[in-house]
Amino acid sequence: MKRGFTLLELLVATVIFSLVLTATYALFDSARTLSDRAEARAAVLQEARTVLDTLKGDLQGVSEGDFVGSCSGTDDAPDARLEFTTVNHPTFRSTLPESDRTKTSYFISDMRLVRRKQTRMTAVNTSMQESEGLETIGPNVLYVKFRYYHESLWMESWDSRDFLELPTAVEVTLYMRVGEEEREKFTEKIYLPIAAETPPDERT
Amino acid sequence: MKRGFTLLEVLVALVIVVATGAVVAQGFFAGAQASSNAELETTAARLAEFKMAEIEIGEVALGQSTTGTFEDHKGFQYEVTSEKDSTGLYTVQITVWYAEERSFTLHRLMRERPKRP
Repeated sequence: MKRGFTLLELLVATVIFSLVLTATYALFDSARTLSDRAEARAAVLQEARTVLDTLKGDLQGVSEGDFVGSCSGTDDAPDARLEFTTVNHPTFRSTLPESDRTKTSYFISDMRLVRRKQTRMTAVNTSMQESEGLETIGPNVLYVKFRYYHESLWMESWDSRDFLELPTAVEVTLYMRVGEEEREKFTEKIYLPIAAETPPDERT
Repeated sequence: MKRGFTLLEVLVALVIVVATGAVVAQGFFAGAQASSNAELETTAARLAEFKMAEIEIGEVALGQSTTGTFEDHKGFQYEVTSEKDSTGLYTVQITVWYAEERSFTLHRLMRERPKRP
């Protein structure tokens, strides 16, 4: 006599099967979430690297001129701005008499890090435009904070017009947005050899 | 006539299922482990660079050997040694320890910073 499955047996088998399937799916889903997170973190780390490298290049090319860093806001949401003169404008292909120095600024605008390079520094009477050389270099940078090192002390702000000097080093902290919820801080200390090793009167 | 599976058949089937499951789970956990190790190692490398920068800017003096922990990163410890060789260069070695016995080491040759007149 041939016998099929009873309804009960079928139901039990279906329940067990779907339980196994759900468990397997949960495993793969958590693996995918993990990998998505890792990918987002890698992208943000890369962005932080790029920003810090650009800033390092600009700071190490710092030249004679005002160096002004201000900071307001709270520890969790600082509002900082750094402005200095630096050699970061390649002029070798230019047909115009241009300077290789620019007035470079870093600040937060609309929850992203902006860098501004103003080239027209040569003539005194040309006014610099607010929007000239503006670029977003850190789309995922929420806040930025700078500290300035001078004779074993870290200071929250710096004004070369008061100190008549440049700081030995600058500490940058980037508050980065990772995915929707996570926040991560990246800190780097950047050494300014020109300020640390050259006496003020030889710095031109 | 009604016939079920024999005990042997059931056992063999069970062993096959368990073995397959174990292999899949092992692959998964190895992946998770590798990912968390990679994250820790990236952090350790970053912290070592951070410590190196402190020596570069003169916050930590050359020729000084120190150990300590990082404020923002629990579970990471550092060890700094720096030695002057016959040419006057310092060999700075920074080791960051994490996850019990794992470590990341950075070496760099540094000169003493010229004194400001």
